[in-house]
Amino acid sequence: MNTDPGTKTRSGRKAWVAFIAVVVAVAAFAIWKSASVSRSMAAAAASDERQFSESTPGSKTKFVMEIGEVTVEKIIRGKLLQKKTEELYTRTTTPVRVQSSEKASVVMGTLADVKAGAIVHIAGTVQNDHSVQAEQIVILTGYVKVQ
Amino acid sequence: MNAFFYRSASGWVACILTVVAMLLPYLLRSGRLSQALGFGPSRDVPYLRRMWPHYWTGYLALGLSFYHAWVSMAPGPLPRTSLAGLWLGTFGLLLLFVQFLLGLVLQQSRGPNAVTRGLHFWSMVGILVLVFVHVALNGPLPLLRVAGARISLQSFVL
Repeated sequence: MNTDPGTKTRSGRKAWVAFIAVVVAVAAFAIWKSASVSRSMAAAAASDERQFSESTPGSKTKFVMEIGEVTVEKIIRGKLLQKKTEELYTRTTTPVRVQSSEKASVVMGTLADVKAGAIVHIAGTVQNDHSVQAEQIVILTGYVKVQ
Repeated sequence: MNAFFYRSASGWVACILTVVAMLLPYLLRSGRLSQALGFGPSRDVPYLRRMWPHYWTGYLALGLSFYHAWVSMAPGPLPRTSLAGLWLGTFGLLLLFVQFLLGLVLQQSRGPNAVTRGLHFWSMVGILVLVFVHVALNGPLPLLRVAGARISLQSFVL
């Protein structure tokens, strides 16, 4: 066994560098993850009636909606919400139909949170019938106010 | 960035710092664990003087936890979440303040102080448990949510 003080100091230094690197990496991941969820929640993108109605089949879209009903076929129906401020949305009369699936990731909640009355941010692809195939659903219930 | 980012990032970083502050005394001590992991702290410097990273990590963890609580209580929409979890988080913060005071006492002590050291240790265990349950109930911890444990933990605490 090597008990040379120089070797011990070097190995000690390596251990500390590795420890600090792990801590910094974990903290950086936590901050990055928080920022990425926060960006999803900011949800500004296309939460706008005009932008939503003009979106073409095959294009990607993002919007915030208030769920009216969820069928057993995982079809989500509701009304589009218009962003007013970061945490305040207003109701519109634009109906939205979203097809969810097992592949759609649910952020800030679970599928159980996708129910009537919930506020969700949808990211997905516009279909030919102007419904949206959901790729990501962010649960915003409680985080935003609706007028 | 919105309030969610500050709330979430400060909470997670405070958690990480709390765990690091808990680990540091074991790594800075010339014990079996620190030797086995290759940290090999120098015995030339007295233990309490070697502990400065523990002190500063602890201060940072306390400051960030306080900030986390502050932004969480700021006016604005509050997400639907477990009230029990919020209370446990609050108790965890109070215990962090107690831990800070116990730490100061130990830092100043000149001789063996078994009672305070015992309190400091058990207070650490308490903080660990409270933070874990707070994160499980109020944080977006996917594993617990997927396993359905979030609901069972909520019903257990409530």
